[in-house]
Amino acid sequence: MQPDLTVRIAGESGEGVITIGETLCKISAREGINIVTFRTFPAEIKGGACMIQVRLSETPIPYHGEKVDLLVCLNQLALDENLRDLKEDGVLVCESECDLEDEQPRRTVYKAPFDRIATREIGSRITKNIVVLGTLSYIMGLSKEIVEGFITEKFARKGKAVLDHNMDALQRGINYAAQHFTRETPYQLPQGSVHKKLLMTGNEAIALGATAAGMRYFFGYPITPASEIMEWLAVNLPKVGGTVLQTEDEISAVCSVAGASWAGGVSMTSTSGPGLALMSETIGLLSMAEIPAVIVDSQRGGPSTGMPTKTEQSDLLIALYGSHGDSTRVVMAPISVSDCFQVTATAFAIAEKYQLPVIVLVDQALSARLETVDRQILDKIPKFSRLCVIPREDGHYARYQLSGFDVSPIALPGTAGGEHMVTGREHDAFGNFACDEETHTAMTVKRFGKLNSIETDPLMSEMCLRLGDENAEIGIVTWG
Amino acid sequence: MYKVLFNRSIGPSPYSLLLPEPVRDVGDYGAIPTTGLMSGHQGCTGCGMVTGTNQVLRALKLMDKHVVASIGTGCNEVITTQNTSCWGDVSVDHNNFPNTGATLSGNIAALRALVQAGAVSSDSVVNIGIAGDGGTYDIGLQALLAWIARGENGVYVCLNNQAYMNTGIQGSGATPFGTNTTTTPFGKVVRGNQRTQQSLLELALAAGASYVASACPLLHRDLMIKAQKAAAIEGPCVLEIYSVCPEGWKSDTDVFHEITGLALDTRSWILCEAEREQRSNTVLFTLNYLPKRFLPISEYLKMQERFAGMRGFPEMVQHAQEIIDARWSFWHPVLEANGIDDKKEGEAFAT
Repeated sequence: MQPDLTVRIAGESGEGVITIGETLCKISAREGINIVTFRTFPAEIKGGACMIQVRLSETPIPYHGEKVDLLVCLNQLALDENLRDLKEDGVLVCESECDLEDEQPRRTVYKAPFDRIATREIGSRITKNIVVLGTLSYIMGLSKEIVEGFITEKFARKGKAVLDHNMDALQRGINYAAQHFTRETPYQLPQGSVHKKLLMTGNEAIALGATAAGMRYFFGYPITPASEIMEWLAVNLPKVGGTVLQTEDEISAVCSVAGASWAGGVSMTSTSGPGLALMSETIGLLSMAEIPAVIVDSQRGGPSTGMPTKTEQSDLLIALYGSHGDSTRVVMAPISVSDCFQVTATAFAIAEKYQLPVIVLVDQALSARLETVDRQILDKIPKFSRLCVIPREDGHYARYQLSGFDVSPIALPGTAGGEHMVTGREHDAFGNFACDEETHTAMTVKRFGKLNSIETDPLMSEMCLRLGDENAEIGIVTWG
Repeated sequence: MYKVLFNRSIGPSPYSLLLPEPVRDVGDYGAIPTTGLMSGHQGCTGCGMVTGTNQVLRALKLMDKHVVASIGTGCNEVITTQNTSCWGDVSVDHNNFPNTGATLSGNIAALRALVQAGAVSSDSVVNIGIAGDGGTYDIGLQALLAWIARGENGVYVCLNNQAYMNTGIQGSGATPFGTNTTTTPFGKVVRGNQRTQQSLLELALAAGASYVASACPLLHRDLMIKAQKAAAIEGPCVLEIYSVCPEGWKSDTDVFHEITGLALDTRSWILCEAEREQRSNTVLFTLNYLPKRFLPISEYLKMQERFAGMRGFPEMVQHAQEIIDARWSFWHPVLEANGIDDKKEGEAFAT
């Protein structure tokens, strides 16, 4: 038994590689084991190399690990690309037809004819991944009942014939391993806690965190790797009375956020680097007009179309400084899936409280990462509200009142006496266009003054994390 | 606004009132070897887009044109950029998602400069833009309409597979009513896509296009004639191609013919063309395909699982039928002139 185990499954997209990994994750999450995964997606629409790496541990783990203990390869390409990451004493399971160029003296190599078992013996090629799952469950000593339970859960609604096929595939996978694999249960699942855990991806955690924080208006445009946020919300936001609107581009999405937010709705959009570039002008508007908004950027390889399915953390500067002039915004970067939930919820609190745009920076790896999350995160949703005012009907409402405090009270459009204009032009307290030096300076100071208040806000206290030795000689400051 | 005229005859036609001579019917070329989109692309099995692009390129090369293509981000770009050799002797400029029309303008301006410098002859090169429906109906619409408004010589090809397929099947402006996509999921609260798909041909005509046409790779002769007309006619021309997508439509990969046939016979996809005589501002409309039998939309919904949810709601199917009937009613003058009664559903008739 070992406390920490890293498993990688590699093959071709469409072979069910991800399903094997996800099943492993679900079983482990129910056993209370901590999980972090890393997935790669092919650039192709169908087919192409893909892999999933699952790290399982008794104790909470910060990332998905590097060298793997157990490598499963479903074809030659997968083997060629992934063998270098297998530990020197690791276990390799691969398709029988794969060639191993070098001797593997310290590694245990198992070859199994997954393809033949699926196509010849079962008569259905698509059951191949379940055969692999059977083999894997033998090697890892998974409880057969639990695995069968998952197969039933997944296939029962597709009819008895499909279910039987898959049960058969599972059994044949187990049998093959039992007959041919000599080293008995080299790896077993780490010991978990009694508490079942939630299992979700970074994108799901962001969408869930936003919904929990009270976001009800979402505007977005499809872009890899952020699309799942919109997709999750398209299914779930209407259930709580929210609205998801797919716009014709990113400019439109962020402008819709500006419109909905000005009208009083807690709103957000999500995108990736190319979309953030398009949104830059409006980020300046949100800052100038002091409109709360949350923008999630799931970074991908750039510039331009770049590498849409690959991860890269290269949008920090555009997130901080994108848009011309001096425009205020807050940039937050979560470090784990549970952090995605908490940071997104906090982003809304900051945006609404301080009336400015907040950008949440994640990346493809975190967006797609499946990770176990403690249920307690659901209790940590910050409470917040906009500083609103009910204006006197005969009064003269000043939207951008300078009162020594950086945040001016908002009158919702439609309230009598609260009629006002928000504008991207430099303005005085009433929103009137002003281009004199004094007003521009005073208003810029007002807008940037918010950042000082945010620094000391208790909401931000959990946004930093210190790891390692208190008395270390060298410190590394990093983000995301 | 423009004056509307209808062409009485129905079917593929190499004639155009904007051209002194008809384009050559593809059969007339004989067995000239040409290459369209070649091997090495990574299109999915059963992809209609690959066949459509292939036929357009072949048609243009039969005219002895060197093709310069500006391609927007989309499936077509994803499947042809990993092995660029699949484009053969086509020069390709991949731009951003919103910019196909704008890049096309740049290409055309450069061609004009090259012609002025005597480097190439103007009729040896054809500038085309290729984009998907998302890059045309949504994010690229502004660039497309602006390009049309500039009145430049070129061909814009929209490969319409009715959703954003390469990013994971999200709905677009071209997604039909009731379709289940990842951003218009079919659920209990909201039942699939609630919007009606836009009409690119109408948008393009309104912007001032010289020639607009819809085509499908199943009727390749019609498609290739249209591509050649679009290349020959002066001014901005728009060609929209029906692109079967087994991945996004959740259909089998070997029913390309059947699905296209049903799209045509249920009039879910109407094959037509329109050419504008600029001086008199008259648009001549031609219907290029008349169904042998008029089938109800319910037949079209059967083979595609993207419509699975909608099939269970007769009022939704009825609404989809009404959308189609309303669009088809535009062609009634042509049917009347030919003595055809489209009220007789499912009945065969001779043309």
